[in-house]
Amino acid sequence: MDEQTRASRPEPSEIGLILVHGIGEQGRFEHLDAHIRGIIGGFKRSGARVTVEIMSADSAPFHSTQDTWRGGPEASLRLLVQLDGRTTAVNVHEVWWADINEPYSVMKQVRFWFWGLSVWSHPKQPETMRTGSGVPVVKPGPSPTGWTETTVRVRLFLLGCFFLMSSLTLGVLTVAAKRLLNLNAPSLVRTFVNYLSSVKLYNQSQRRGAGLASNADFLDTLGEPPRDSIRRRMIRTICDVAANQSYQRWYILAHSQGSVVAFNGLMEPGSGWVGYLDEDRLKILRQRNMVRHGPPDTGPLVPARPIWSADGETVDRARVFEWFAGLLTYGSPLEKFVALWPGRVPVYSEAAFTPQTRWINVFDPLDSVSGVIRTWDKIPGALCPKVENLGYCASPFLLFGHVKYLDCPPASETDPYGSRLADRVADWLLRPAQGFR
Amino acid sequence: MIPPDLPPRDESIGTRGSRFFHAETRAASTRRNWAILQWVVAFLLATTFAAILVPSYTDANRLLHPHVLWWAWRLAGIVLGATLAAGLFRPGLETQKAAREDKRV
Repeated sequence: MDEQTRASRPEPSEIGLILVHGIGEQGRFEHLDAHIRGIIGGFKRSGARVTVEIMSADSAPFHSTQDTWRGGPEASLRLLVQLDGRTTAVNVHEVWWADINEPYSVMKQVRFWFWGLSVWSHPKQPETMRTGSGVPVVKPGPSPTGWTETTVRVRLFLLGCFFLMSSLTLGVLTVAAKRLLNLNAPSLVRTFVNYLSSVKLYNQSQRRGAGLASNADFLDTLGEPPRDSIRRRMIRTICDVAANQSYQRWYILAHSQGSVVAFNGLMEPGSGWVGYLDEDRLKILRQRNMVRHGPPDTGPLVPARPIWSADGETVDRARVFEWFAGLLTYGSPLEKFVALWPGRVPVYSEAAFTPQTRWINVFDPLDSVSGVIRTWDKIPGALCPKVENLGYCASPFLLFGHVKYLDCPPASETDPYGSRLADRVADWLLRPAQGFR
Repeated sequence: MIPPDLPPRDESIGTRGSRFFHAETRAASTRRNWAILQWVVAFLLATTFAAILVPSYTDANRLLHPHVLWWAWRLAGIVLGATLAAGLFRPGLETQKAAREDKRV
């Protein structure tokens, strides 16, 4: 179908929606299932009629206890929303990467505490660049938040002390509950370690196995950092959605560390994209005229250029993001990543985004993970969309808001439509020009 | 005092919302102060619990150890010492080394 006719296609209008989860031990589709509920509620509160279709897979494991959802290039869930006589089909995709986290073991716990307690003295990462791509990194300049390096380090030191002290207390409570009261209390420390290990994983050069096993890299990421496996999931999903010609526009909603994953996926230079794709996906991009031939590589790419891709073959990001309507980050630690590991969140001087693409960042000061994002304020919008920071009261209690952005109860019985984030998201999906105003 | 979940309407975005606020407003600042207060309380609670529970468990006959203060100092020494030592000697060598030497994005 002709690309130019996308915007003027008759109803139902089709839109793509990518959900990216953050740290945690989510099962497949668990994040999608939890976060889409709030948005469905938003659609309903707006007065729309909503029909939800689960796209089941064509086959299922023998004697399995649950049905299988479709998890390939096509959407896993389809929402048909009818409002004011217009029907919109929201096709939902999930980027799932929780399985890339290392399996739990005592050694994992030991390594985690060694890492966590020493983060405050983490050496400043040297200038990084994508080897072989030849695309220069845009220097963001000093952070406008005004925090000096010393302040950040002191805060991290105190946080380390706080979590170590809390884990001692929680550890004693858990042991006491088991021994004195015979209660099978969940190990909060173990859960905490498993959750925060995702942040550590993003900064490792190698994925470790259980116990003393030294290397458990995924087979398609052998010798490469585990974050490449995470980015592969993100970029492949973006590819699936961008190449789907029935979508008139598409969005990314990224929670917590998922915003780092999404940001990496959006900012990866076109030459780097090829290493993340499989042959079928690259063929589709070629058919859609989303691949061009650029200058030859200046060195080996990471991840490596596949043998079925010619030297210099580059994904044309301007074509990929032509129908990209916007990114919503909520509970995002991106600004903290910039302070601690700036090399993990680079922006390249490769224009890709249209002026219509919006980036809305929702933060809650009571959610310590989140924060205002200002680092890329002065970078042209074609390289990185301008961030619109939006404060939101997700919860009155410290840290709880982190998981409450789209699942926020009404402030009062008379809470009007639009007072919740899920309402605004629903609005934005249906009416991109009016949403979040 | 402004309730933390209800910033002033004149600082909220649009005409409908009460939960939303701009980054540079009194509502945001109130919310930040509220967060700091909760952190201080959490820190004090963690310290108190650790100072009471850890020594109590080592001496299971007493709920409150008679030398709680002494234990609290010892515990503070352990926690501060461990964090300081971890930072200075960086036993998480793999990640630290990777941060220094790994130029891959």
